[in-house]
Amino acid sequence: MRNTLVTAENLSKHFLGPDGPLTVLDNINFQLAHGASCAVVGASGSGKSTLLGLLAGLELPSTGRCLLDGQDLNVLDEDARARLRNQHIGFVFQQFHLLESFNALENVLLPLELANVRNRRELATTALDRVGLASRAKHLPRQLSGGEQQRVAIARAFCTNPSLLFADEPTGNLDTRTAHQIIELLFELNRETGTTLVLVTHDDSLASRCSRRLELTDGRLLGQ
Amino acid sequence: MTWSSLAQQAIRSLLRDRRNSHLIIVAIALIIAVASMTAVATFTDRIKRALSTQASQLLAGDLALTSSRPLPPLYRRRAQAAHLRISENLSLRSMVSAESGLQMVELKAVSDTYPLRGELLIAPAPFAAASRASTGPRPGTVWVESRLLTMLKTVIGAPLRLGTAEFQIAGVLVLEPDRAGDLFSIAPRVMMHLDDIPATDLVLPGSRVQHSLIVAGAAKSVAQFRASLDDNAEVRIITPAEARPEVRSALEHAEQFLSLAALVATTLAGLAILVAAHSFAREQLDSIAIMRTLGASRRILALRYMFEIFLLGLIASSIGAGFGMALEFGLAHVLAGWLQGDLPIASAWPAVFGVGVGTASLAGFALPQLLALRDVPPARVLRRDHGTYLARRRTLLSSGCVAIVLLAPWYAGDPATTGWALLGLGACLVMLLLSARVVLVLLSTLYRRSAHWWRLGLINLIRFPALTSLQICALGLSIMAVMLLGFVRGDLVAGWATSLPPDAPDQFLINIEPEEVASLGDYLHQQGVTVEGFYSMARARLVSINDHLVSPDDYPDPRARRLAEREFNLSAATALKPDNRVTTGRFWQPNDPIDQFSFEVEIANSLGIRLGDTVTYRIAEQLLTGRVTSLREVNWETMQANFFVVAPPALLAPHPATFITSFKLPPGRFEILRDLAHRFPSVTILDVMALLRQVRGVMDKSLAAIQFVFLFTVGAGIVVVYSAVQATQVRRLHDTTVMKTLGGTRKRILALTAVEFLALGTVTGLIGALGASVAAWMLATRVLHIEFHFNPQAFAIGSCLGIFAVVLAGLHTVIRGWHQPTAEVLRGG
Repeated sequence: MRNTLVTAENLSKHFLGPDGPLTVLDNINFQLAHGASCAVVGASGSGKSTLLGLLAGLELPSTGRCLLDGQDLNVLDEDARARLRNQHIGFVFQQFHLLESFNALENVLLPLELANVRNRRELATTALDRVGLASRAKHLPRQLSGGEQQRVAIARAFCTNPSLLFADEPTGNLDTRTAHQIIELLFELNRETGTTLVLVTHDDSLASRCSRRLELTDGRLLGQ
Repeated sequence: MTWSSLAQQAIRSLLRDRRNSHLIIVAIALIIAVASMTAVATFTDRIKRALSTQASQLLAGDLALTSSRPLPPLYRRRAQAAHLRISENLSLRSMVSAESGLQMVELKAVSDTYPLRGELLIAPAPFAAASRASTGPRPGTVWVESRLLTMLKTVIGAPLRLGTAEFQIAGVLVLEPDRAGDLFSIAPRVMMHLDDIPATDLVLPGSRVQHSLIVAGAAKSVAQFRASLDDNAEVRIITPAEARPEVRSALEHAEQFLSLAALVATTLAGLAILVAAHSFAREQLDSIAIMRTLGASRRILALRYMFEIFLLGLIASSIGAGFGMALEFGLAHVLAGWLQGDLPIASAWPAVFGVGVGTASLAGFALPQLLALRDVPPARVLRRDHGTYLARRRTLLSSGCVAIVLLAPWYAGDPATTGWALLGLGACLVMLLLSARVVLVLLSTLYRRSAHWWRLGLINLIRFPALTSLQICALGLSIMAVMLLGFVRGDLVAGWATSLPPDAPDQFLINIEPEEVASLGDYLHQQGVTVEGFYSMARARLVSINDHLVSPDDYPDPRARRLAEREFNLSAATALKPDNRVTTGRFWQPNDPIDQFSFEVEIANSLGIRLGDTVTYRIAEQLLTGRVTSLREVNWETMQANFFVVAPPALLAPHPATFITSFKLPPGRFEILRDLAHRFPSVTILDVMALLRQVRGVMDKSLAAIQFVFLFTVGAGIVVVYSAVQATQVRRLHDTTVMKTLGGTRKRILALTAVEFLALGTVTGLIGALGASVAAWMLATRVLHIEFHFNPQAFAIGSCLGIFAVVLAGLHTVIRGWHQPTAEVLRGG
């Protein structure tokens, strides 16, 4: 498919547990088109975050392969995968994962600095402004609320204009009202930028806002 | 909650926390610290005793009793009861005769057991190679100093008459371990067997004889014997440290260095514990909040942590003490050959001391941080940003300082050394904290003004000023210690060791008549020998101090009594010698009044002579009066000719005097000595080469001991560096993972880390080098009184050392961060 951005082919992931090998993902196959929004749902321990890690090249599958815009992640080394992430992927995590020694602006600047983008400060400021935190640019993460920290993380995810955004339980650590605001912001930016969104969530109502749904049970893909 | 349930909970907590990385670091730091402390204390103890034994060799035993009257048999019985080995000697001045004439000699009669310690060297002919003798001369024979052979124009094998008996000269006496402290005794030595004395009829009622009883044996037995001795003014008790001022001085310096090294090691260990405990405390915040939410009171929490830390301290310190003892045994074994002979058996107290010091250090450096956790509010379970409630830096440093101040005197018995060392350490910590502040301001400015990506590497240093300051303090002090002990120590020890310079004179010429000075000087010059100078010397007896007639009975102190009895060597000097230092008063200038004296400070104290006192001497029935205008410290380690009492030349001019000079004999040029003996027969040649070797041996042993102790201090410094970097490991791991996730390549992440480590290492190294230089200067000028040479290269070396230490300590964390599965860390939060 020419329009395919993400391809998972026979993806499996095994870990060696105390009671022997443990299969976390078992023969996963699917494709995602450019601009799609996809919810990955399933119970705790069903393998959602592991799947996200494999799709983003944070780890490699035990068997099978992931392709990002036709590029097989298995053949890339750690640095090459890092460069690919920097250029094409944005992340929003449940735990925000901001660097605690960096202030809000510096956290947003980080992927731009790593990519050595010319007008990075301007881009970062714009991104922070877009999430409504221009006035908190100099604040350290510990000086921000959870919702504000997640906004910084969203600004950091979108500032490089990625083609693919992974959001792993982005509202898991937030209250309902803040979670709602964050989700609205996420989808709004997704629409504006035309980014492909992969959203890992427990929340059925949130999943229903995505154009596609992947349901995992015990590491197997049940429905698409 | 009862005490037993608290203790049980503490044990359970400790068992549960046994896999906690920070607690493991605390334990490892403690084990290494106590191991090094125990090894240092054990080795210091053994080295001190070995050095003391070495000094005993200069006494020919472990303790000597001397008296002008026969020593009561009671002493001998007590020594025997204490299972000590005994040697009895007798010395007196007497005339000896050979075919060609008569000569006054210092006669020494020794028993079969002489010497109990040390070396007795004899040679078959004058200036021939010497060999070691296990006992004194056989009955019927004597050994003589080579100059006596020249004086009497006799040879080895010829007869020598002593009183009413005749003996055969069997050898040349090169070195006896207990050659009297007065190097410049006029008469040459003759050594004979004690059993031959009755045959000579030399010891008669009224003879001026010195009787000696020398003992040797286990330190405990010697101490027991020493304690059993009455305070008898007629009997002088000489300990090894009093045997020679040069050796005593060397021992004092060695002890100063060893104490200093041990103290720095303790401080570094404390800092390692402080850094690791800080990380542990930080990790405890959440669980404390939960415990408080569940109803644990502040008191219960405090007791729980006290129990836990006490248990940890006891276990880790015991393991550390065991390691320390094992390590020390191994190293002592390696060093045994180097130290020429077995080290004494280690006593158990350093291990006990190590456990005590380890637990105390833990209490001083770790407990305040854990006790501060009592104040963590239960509300933290709702909001994690509800304060950190870790102990304040000021509190931590204060409690650490108190611990060190309380522990320091245990290490350094000398209050002056302890005081200066503590003052130095305190100044260092203050300086390091201030420097850290300055560095942080400079780095912040650099960060703000730069637009390059590499500036991100500085951010970790700037945004956590407390942690950075702590690291700079810990690393700075480590580097300072390493620099001070590893590099600047070289200068200090060299300065000390070279106070006995390679060109220290090994030949003294005495009894030089005034008219011989010029011709003797010319002769030595022609032979290419440099003499330090010719000093006049007159034998004088102290008559009065401030018109009060001096009597030995005025002085209860036996040493002062002897000084009041004996003749002094008065000398003349126009200017202060370089190895002398005026402590009080002013040394005379060319046009000053001539009726002045300058006294060596210790002898003045013994005799109760103060600046401004008027002192009268008698030289050959003529009186000589002058005012004491200066007191001097004399550096005896230079081995140059030095005098207790000095006067302006004009004061001594009218009185009969001879001259003394000294020089170093060029290697292998023994013919100069033979030639001198022929050309200047009245001049007495004193060959002190063997004695010099002996003193140098003591110094060499001291240096070896110090270098060994410094190795442990360096080890302790590296532990601090490692624990400081480990303290930031969790954050570094997270940061590295997030950067990798956002697209940071290995090269870029390494570059950012390199910037941080380079900056931290460089500034810390520079600060450490500066601190080391200042500390070395203070030590050199205030404590050791030696010249200090500033070394600008120290800063370059310090920076390299800082970078190396930070990279070495941090590399593991960086590599671990890189290899840590990204997804796993992100899932872990």
